[in-house]
Amino acid sequence: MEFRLIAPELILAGLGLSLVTLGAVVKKNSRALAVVGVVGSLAALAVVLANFGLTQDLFSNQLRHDAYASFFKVVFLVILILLFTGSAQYVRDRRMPAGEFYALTTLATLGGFLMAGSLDLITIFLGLELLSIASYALAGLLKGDPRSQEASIKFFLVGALTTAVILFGISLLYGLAGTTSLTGIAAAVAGLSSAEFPLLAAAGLFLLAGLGVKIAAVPFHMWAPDTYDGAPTPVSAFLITASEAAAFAVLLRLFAVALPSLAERWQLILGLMALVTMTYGNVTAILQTRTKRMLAYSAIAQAGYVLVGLAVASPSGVSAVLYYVLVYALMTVGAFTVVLLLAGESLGEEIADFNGLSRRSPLVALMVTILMLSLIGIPPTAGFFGKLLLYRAAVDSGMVWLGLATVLNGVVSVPYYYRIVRNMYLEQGTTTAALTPTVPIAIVLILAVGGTLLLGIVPEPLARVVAAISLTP
Amino acid sequence: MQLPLTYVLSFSALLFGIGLYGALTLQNAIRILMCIEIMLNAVNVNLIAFSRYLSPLQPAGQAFVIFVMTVAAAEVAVGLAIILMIARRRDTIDIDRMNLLKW
Amino acid sequence: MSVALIVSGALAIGGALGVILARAPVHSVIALIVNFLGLAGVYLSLQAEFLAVAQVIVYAGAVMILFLFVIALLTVKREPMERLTARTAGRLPLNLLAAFAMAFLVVLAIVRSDPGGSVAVPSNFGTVRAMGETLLVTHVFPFEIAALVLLVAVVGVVVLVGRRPEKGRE
Repeated sequence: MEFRLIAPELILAGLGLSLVTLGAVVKKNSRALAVVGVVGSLAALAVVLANFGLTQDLFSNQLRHDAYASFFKVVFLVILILLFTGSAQYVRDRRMPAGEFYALTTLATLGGFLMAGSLDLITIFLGLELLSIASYALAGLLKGDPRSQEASIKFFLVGALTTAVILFGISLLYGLAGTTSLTGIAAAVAGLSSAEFPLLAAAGLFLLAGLGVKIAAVPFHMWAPDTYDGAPTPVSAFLITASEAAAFAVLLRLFAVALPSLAERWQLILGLMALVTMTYGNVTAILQTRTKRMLAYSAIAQAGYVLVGLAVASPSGVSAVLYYVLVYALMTVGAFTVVLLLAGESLGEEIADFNGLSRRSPLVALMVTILMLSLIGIPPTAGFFGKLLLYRAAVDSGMVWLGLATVLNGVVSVPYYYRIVRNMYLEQGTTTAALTPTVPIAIVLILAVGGTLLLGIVPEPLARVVAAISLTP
Repeated sequence: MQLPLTYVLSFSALLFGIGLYGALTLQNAIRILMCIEIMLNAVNVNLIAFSRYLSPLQPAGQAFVIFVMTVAAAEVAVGLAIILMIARRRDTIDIDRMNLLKW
Repeated sequence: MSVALIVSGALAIGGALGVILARAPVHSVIALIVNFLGLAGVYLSLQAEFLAVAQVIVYAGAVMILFLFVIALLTVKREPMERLTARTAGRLPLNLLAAFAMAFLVVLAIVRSDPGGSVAVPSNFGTVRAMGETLLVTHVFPFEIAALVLLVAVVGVVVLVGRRPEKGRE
């Protein structure tokens, strides 16, 4: 076994441990800790990129290093780096325990790594729990804030219940196959008689429901707006992007590698779930007045778009999901960074706080506009191309209605994204003082918005990369 | 003489159902947590039963149980910490009264 | 063997019902301990010796102490534990239906699928030695991750309930 293949995981584990330790020593200086975090995650990113093309099964087939896992690892690390860079100010202002915050985020990311790379139910489960348990604590990190407390307890109770549901599904699957390895399950499931199908369907339903909670798909979304609204802003951004992406990574791997027969039979179920999720998210988002809550419903809608790629159960669907997950991460982190920026002057929680932003900082307003256009899916942004891929995947596999639903939902989502743009350019704000982002926040915004534009204007290179990634070698 | 596997599995499904019912119905966060523990234990029964009846040579199921126990303990610890944190600030751990955010 | 299984299974079910039906949380905890001990009996009758012992030590020992400890902490200042107890308003019938429809459907699926009888069990099944080999040879990688999960839990607990010496605390 080659150690370089798990070097990123080792780096993250080491980084997590050192951040805990450093956090106890340098209590005041959250910026120094953030720098350590960024350097460590950049190192991990470099190793992941260097190993990108290699495919190998590790630890007696419990972990698979392939391009699919590597792609998700890149997404997680991009999110982590942007968050570390952008959140130092917020962490200091809100007196969050910096070392623990960074360490828990790092270890949660490691959980995401394991979820993306696992080829065994046991490792999937442990990765999921590493991510979840860290997230429960992260959501409650603003200890004095009742909203954060409430977000944390709701998130925890729903999450723990979800764990039990997922595990019950896993246990049934293990019983049917006699093994926890995904490839072993695939072989065993192929040989099942039709009499055993009810048990397989039950196992699949438990897993779908459980992972549906993690990606906040309707009807398992009840916890999401509360948690994303109440949790500390950087944590919300992390949960919406990294945590949901990790759950998608598992869902795709599970259904494509272990249960391909179920995935084909369940196209309709997954498609309907996608349809309901995106419609519900978009319609409810229109009614919101708080920025984070609106972004939370928007996240539900976006999860619906990604589900389209899952429902079509084809290689082009997988590629579309990968593309969209990366783009969505950039857009969301960008949007939440603007919330962080406004929060610096105790604004940003209400959508009305965007009023008159164009006069306070034309550049920031322009960036927000680009992000919103991308979230709607208007060219030349990356959001457009991502949706195009999803649409094509749906149409190519004969689910034209799902493709059309995606397009229509883009239209439905216009009002609430547009409202932010309108507020920035047409409304009078309570203050007209110039708004200058701090250097770290400016860097994050430039990277996120730049990435969104770049992937929209020249999408082909990345499109080629994701098209080459497949789950079944 | 051995009980058929179906009986053991039905027992665990019943246990899981009881836990699920409690978790959905009860108001007190600590008791919800207890019910979730019952559900996790139902999973353990499943894993052990399958491993005992169907694949005793490959004890992956039993190893899994150890991991479930570990994770359950970790989860309980964090959960009780959250509950404790909340109880310090307010007088209730009744989830129906946590309504700052629209549930 | 099967008599022991039935008795301990009944004990476990009774304990689980007790958790839901008891008035005071402390009684729930005791019912939960009964449930865990019953389950340990079930594991033992299924020849999973090591897990039966682990069940008693980890759950009935450590986890339940944690529960009792928190309940004790919460009742020191406040009067009524009773007020914290079950109020099973409104949603009850629906939940009952949902939970037991679920259980029923699963049982139906199990019975219809009938995963089959039993295979001969090797003599070292479920012993400490066999478990040690499984955990530390085959599953050594997940074992290490479990360590990280515990680390995360420790950090999480400390950060959530630990008090930091900072000025201006309310």
